[in-house]
Amino acid sequence: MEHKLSQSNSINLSSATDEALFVALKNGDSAALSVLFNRHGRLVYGLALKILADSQEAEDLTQEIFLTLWRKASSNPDCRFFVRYLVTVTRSRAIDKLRARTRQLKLVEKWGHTMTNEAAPEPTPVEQASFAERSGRIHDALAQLPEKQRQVIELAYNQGLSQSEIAQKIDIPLGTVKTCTRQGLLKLKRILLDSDLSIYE
Amino acid sequence: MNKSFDPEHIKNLAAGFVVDDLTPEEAQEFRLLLDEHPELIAEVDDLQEVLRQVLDGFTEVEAPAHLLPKILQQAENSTTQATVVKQMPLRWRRIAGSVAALFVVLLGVDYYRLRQNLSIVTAENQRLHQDFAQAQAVKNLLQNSQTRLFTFESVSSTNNSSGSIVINPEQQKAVMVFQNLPAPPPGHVYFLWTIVKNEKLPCGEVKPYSWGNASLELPFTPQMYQEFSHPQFSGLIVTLETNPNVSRPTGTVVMQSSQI
Repeated sequence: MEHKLSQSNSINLSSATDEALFVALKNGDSAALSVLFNRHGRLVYGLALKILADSQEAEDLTQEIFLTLWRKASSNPDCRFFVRYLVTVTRSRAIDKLRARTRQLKLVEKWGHTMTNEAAPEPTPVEQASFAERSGRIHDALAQLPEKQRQVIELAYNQGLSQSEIAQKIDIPLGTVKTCTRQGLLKLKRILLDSDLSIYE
Repeated sequence: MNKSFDPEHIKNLAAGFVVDDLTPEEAQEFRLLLDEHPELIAEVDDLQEVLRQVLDGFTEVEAPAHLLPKILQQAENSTTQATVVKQMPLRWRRIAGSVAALFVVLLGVDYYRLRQNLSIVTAENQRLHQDFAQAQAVKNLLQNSQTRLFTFESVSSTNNSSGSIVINPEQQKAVMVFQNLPAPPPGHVYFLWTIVKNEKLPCGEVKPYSWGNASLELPFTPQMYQEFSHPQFSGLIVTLETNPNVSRPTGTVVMQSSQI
């Protein structure tokens, strides 16, 4: 397949900010889509897989989201805050798909079964080490949060539950879930950004 | 202190914005704040980075390597189609009024016919590819000892549609094959249900690439397999629904399995 940009431009794009890439995307530059996928594809696919627990469906959803980015870049102002946009859209579409598929099944029960049976490719030793490193850093940071804040963040982003499902599961009001999520994120910011383990390394 | 200028309140709004749980009023307030104080973008960026880090820490998979080429191919296809649509009026405007217009029109018609023929051949080729792929999938499933087969037929005597479902728990795959199933009326969808303990549980929309004689792969989960192999499983039905997100059957039963 022939893409619009030369290799040198692709190299320039690879160091561009998300916002610059989004501008390139608006101009129909497919190399920007490629760089965005390399940068955020794992986040979208990983989150979709967490929620849907089905590698084929997670692939389809990832494809759908990046193609929507491509097709609607010029009319989608939400993309200015890219990570937020990708996480929001992935979570909401995955949760919608899951509800449509298994409305009457027990979500948590399903979660336990399918994640262990998921036929995702085996990670390489290097990938395993990288997962362990990333995971360790986040778990250390999460461990410093108050219990409820840690719980809601794990349930929302590690188990893919919606806020109302979290409220039901740990039996707290929806407003408290929102407060805990926001306060948890702000505390994590302090821990991660202010620590020696700079996230911009 | 005015609430809008309270740093804690602004941080709280920024966090709510990043995790997408602002109320419409808060969202409006935050949009205004962002316009008036562009320096807030840095706070949002930092929080986005934290969110990305959190998800990164929870994710233990890489996106499959074949996914990017697939996306780029589709993006390229959609661009090509859009370009053709955009360029056509311009081309016709240029030739309008020209002495050679008629000749060009004739060539254009000929070209259009060729394109039509090509698209028919391409569609047919694609259909054959899909048929072949599904036949291979069914063949692979049938060769496996764990595979189970259910057949079902039309409930109406005037309709001779029929079908089968082949499932394999090891591959976590299920293929539904049917014959003479007409396309649902506009605004309707076919929906497949399992019946377990007299309760009807949704399996998903019956949505093949074509109607009549075709097949589709069902998004099959271990839970669905458990339903199929449940001691109180009593069969399958296909209903005609108006809402694709339906949680219990509300429409008419179109087909039912032979076990019912």
